[in-house]
Amino acid sequence: MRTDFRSDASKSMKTFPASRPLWGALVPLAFLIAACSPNAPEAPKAPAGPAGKLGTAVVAGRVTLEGAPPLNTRVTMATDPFCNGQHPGETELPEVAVGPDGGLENVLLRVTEGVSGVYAAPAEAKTLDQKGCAYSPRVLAIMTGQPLEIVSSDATIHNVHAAAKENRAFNLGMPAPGTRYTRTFEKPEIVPFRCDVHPWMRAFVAVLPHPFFAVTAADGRFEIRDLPAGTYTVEAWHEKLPRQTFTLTLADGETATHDVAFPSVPSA
Amino acid sequence: MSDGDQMTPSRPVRLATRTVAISVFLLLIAGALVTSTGSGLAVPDWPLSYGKLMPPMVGGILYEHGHRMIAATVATMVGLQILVLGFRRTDRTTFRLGLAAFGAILAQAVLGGLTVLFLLPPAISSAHAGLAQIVFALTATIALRTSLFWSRFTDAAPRAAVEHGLRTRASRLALWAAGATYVQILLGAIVRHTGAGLAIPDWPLSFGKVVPTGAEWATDGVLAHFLHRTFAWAVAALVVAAALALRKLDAIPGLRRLSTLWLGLVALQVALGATSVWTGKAVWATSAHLAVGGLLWIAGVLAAVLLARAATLSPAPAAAEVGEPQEAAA
Repeated sequence: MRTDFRSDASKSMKTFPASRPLWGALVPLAFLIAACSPNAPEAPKAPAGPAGKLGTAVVAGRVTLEGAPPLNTRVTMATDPFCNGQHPGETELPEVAVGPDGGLENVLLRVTEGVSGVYAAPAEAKTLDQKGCAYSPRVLAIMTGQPLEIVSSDATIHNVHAAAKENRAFNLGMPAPGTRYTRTFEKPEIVPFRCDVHPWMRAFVAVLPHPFFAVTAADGRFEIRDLPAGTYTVEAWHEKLPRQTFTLTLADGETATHDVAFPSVPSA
Repeated sequence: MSDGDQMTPSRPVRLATRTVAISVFLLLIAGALVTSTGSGLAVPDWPLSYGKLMPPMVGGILYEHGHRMIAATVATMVGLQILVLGFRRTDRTTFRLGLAAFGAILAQAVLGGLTVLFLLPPAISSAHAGLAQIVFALTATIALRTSLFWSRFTDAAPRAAVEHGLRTRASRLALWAAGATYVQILLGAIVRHTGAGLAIPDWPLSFGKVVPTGAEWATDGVLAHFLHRTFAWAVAALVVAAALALRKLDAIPGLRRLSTLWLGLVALQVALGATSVWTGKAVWATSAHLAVGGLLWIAGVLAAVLLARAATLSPAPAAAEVGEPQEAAA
């Protein structure tokens, strides 16, 4: 077995000769080493325990940033002509993305207390794309065991490095547009993703054990649906700002509104 | 092949061994740039790069694949060096050093591959950094032993009027300084590969104090970073002491110049360490810090090798000659 840089869908493509004299001695050893590499997909495990319940309550709201938006990192993408063509000159990274009316995008809202039982993961995959030398979306939430499809729409080379701590970390090559991989994560955590070819590319994939989460849209709005009646603690997580939490009690069929305001910080 | 005083190696041998040592140094800098630019995983596979011998050299691939290409070239050069040393009948020790350098650089390639495939575990990445400096020391020693300077040194050292005690002291200090520098390089590698370069954000103080306190120690990387910056002062003191001891042996050719170079390097290295923190780990500063660290280590190794050579050529005087009591007399 070897570490495969190619996508799952393109494994029938031709392989490249590796028998150059210099590498001759190292290649067999390399293949042996690659057999132990962590890049292979993890086999999904079925969760055990009583099934969790779904309900009809909803918590919705809007996340805003109080005060002046912080200074985001500015980069130039001159090291790759394709990326530079997409973003000529200096580009501000959307680390703290604030809309014109103060709405804060890319905030994860997740229930951290009050949920019990085991929830089955949806079979439907969520997609993390590499588009214009940036991840799209920047913050994505999935359930444990739910497929994550990683694709590249860019006509340049990327690598996808998932720096997971609780799950198995991996690093995959995305050498051409249309490259596609599917991976699952079995343990809850927020997994930072990065492209080491283009170090400004960052994404965060939140892996959650239940379906009670949302990520804010460009206007800062969110909605967590299907909650059973009960008391919950909800955490608002942002990649650069200190976490916020709130607690609320919901009755069946109730739609509660709760807005969250993050205090600003000097720089992202 | 002999292990005694060999003939002065020919110009092609001298040129070849010097070129190999300089190439290894350039390879160290290329490796430093990989880490400093965060490009260590820009190529996810090994030994090929995205399944090819030559991927597009964009972004971090330029550094990572460039490092691999330079490494392949330098490894080939180190291999060819064995042939040059063998065919040109250099002494046995130099030939063995050539074999050791080739073995070490092959092991280095395997460590490089392992660290990519296992996503840069700090232990493997630090071992890769540490072995790189061993390869540098081996090739630099080969270059020294095949140089014209080595021949002149071999001729002149026995005639130099040098007090035995001073030479022994300088030799011990050079060994301690070189050893401490290597330990410091390993500590630096741990700081680099655990991402602890800015764990303490100020310099020369640490969080505004001489020693971090309380919860600061619990922060990731603070212990490794503090050990590296504290041990730096011990290394600097040893290097200064060894360099000053070398200056007292100025009757032996080359040692005074080496002493001056060593003192200059240690001052530059402390300044680069501080600059790495002050600039928030600017790529040029951290790369230069690693490169000068390598030169500092090599200065210690060469000083130790030269002093060992001088001791071999001018053995310690017999007890009677220096007027020590004759315990077994009569």
